Amino acid sequence: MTRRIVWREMVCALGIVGVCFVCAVTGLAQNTAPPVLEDLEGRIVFASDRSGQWRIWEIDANGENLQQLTQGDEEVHDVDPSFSPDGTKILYSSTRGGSTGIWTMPAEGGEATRVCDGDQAAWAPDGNAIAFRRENKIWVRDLAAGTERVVSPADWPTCSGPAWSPDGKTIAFAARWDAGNGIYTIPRDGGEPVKVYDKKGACEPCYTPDGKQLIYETETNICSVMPDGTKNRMVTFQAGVQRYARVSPNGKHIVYCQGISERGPWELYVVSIAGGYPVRLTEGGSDMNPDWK
Amino acid sequence: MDVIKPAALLTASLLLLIGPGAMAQTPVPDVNETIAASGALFTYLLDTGTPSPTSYTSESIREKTGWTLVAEDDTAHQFQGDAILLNDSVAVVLRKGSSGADIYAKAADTYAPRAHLEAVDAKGQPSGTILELRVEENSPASVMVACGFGSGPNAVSTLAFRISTGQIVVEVQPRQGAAALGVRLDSEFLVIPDFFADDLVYTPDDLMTLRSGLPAENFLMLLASGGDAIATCVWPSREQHAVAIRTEAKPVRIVGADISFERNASVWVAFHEAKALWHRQPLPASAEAQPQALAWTPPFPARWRADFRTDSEAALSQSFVENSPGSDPDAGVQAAAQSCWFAEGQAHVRPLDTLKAPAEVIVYPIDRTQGTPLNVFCLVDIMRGTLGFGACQYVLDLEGLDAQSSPTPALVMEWIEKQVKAGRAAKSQDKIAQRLEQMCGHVEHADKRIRAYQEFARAIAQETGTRSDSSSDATSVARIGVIAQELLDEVNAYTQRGSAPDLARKEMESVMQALGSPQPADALAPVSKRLHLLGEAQDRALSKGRMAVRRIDQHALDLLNEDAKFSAFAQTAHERASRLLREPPERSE
Repeated sequence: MTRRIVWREMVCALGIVGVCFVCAVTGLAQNTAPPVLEDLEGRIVFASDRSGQWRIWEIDANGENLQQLTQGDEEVHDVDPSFSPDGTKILYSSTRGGSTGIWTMPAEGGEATRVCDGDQAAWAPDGNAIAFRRENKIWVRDLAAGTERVVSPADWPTCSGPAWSPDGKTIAFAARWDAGNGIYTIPRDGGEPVKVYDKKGACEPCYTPDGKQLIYETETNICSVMPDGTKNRMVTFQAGVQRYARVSPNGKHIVYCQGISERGPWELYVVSIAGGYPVRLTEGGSDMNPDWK
Repeated sequence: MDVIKPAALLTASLLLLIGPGAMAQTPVPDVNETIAASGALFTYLLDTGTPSPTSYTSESIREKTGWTLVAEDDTAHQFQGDAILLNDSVAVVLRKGSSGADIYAKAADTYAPRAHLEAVDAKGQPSGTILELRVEENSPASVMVACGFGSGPNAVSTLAFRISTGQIVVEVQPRQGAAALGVRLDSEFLVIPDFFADDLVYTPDDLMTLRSGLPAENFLMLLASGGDAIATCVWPSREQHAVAIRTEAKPVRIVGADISFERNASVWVAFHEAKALWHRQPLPASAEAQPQALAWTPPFPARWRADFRTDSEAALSQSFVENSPGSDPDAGVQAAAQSCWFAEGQAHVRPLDTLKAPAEVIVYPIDRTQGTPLNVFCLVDIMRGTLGFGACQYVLDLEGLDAQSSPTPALVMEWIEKQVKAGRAAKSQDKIAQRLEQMCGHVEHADKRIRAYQEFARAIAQETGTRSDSSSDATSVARIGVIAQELLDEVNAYTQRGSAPDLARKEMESVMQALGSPQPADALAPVSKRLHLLGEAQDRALSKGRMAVRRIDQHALDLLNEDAKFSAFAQTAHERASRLLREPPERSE
């Protein structure tokens, strides 16, 4: 298992109740001019424990209109939200029904429908399939036919965090070995994985909208790399820990989680994909797993 | 790792487009303008054009007269002058003819000279001067230049210096020939932090020789004279050694440390800068147990640590707590038995009762809090960014304890309490029993380790008692004896609580009973508190034990060089200590 939030951590992490978000507030020293980010468009969906249990929340990319999208009993926890390609639905992982499964709901919230067992699901760009994790393997499910197949190698022990390339032909994912994490790509129908980068605990890959780069996290920072492993660059430079980045639809920004240590609590920040100082988007509780549409 | 830097790309592209032949006719872009256009975060490699016979000043680094940027990805560049690695936090100056890299740290709007990093041999002697420079990495995120040192025509040793955008760390990679990295920085204190117990805080007077071995395993801090800077040195291998360096002439000063390059491992040196970044203040004898305001205001929110120092390097360490505004600071102290706290922004300390003769308190930032600015790096940030993990995992790793398979009482109880709070205790009963069993395994293993320290201390105390009878003038022997006795006192205090494994088993039953009661949360609270205390006592004993063994080992090594008549004792003590430190006992399953 990589560092993505896991159910054990999730049910443990009861945060401060209360909604308190701020926009354009940074955690920088006083003598540093606050950054200004332009073109912050669209919506960001994320998991938060700000209401007690982990729920799916949404906020405009400019920091306005925070709202809770899922409700449930105390024992229910919802994480890992992911927008459908057309932005009308949200896929997420939930303990609804007593076991961990993948669910879908309208983007504005509403009735949830169980898709299958598993978690960490991501829509294919054509919207017809999802890639997800089940029993530490990466699976692809055809949504219309309901058929499933494992695409990660059978003898790879711990795979997680699948992410589709924009052309839908390739899936990037993380694999964990005794020596540490690594990022790999694999054809959507399975095949021989190609190593992208396997140092500094690399995991949680996601593609930029043009497919030219993969954004990923190390133990401490968010980085970018070409899918062939070249041009490996840090994108965030701050102290503390930066995790779980997703790229804006226009490809100009990254939303990610900032924590004071590996154990959080986490706040969402937005930074230019070209680097620079970030802007804090949320505050209060712990906010994770953002996705941007 | 690289970083993206649009302005640099533009400059590099322009240079490539116009070509070298056109450069004489085309105005060269102003270096400072190019850097300013990059924004607040950047990394550049510069060529000064002409080697400088003297050190660069802050002003010359600001003006950059005659300097040029080395284009991105140009690793074949031949330096006409000196090489400057520059980012938003540090400047690394590789000056031909110098014995090493001059480090300047960004302070306010200038780069202030801070330290000198050089290749040294096993005795701390420089390997000559810089003869050659070779670019190894030149991306918008990181630059690295290999530097050949020697006194003849050919380099005898090579070090590579690397910096990255937004980072205060200079990474030094050994390439060939260098035994150690010499970090030269005038310092008032050298601190070896201990996260779960007490720091070692060295003054010049604590260093018995010009080169004193240090019991540091992976990091140390140099608190630079003046209070506005700290250099943190981190190294990954426990086979690497650290030596403190002091001057011979009086007044004696700490002038740095040497970190060896065993296993070809890097050394990272982080340069922390802020006004009043660290603080020292004498504590008058009459102030014993009386709260005292410090003449110091923290420059930023952080987890600040206070080291109370008396007559040896062994300090008593405490973290500052925040009192609510307007509260009586003394009441806060009594409530938390706390010896240092902030009240309305004012720092207060009260020497601990156990501090027999308070001399002074030293304050520095050890870790971040929620309010710490994102561009401020504390010790734990540097550990995480270089070694890959924070303080807790570091300590557990040292003792062969894996947080997943061998969770601490605190971790297990926090998890169980959350199960209870979420109403999942009944469903999770099997899992709870399993976690409690793992916790008992952890307590048992830690206890075994602490008793190994106790056995070691007992043997050493006995041996030094015999030795000091016959040779009371042997300072190192006496010091070893004192440390061994302190360790025995610490472990005895721990063992007087009873058998920790038995206590853990008993409390495990109490937890299961509490979970079956009508009000499980209420019933669980006192059991949880007892288990937390048990865990804290073990953490402290483990940490104190390990530090004491490291100190004894270091003094034994000093003794080996100091006095031949104690060589047999010193050799045995060193071997036993090394074995204990390097071979944590196997866990009993």
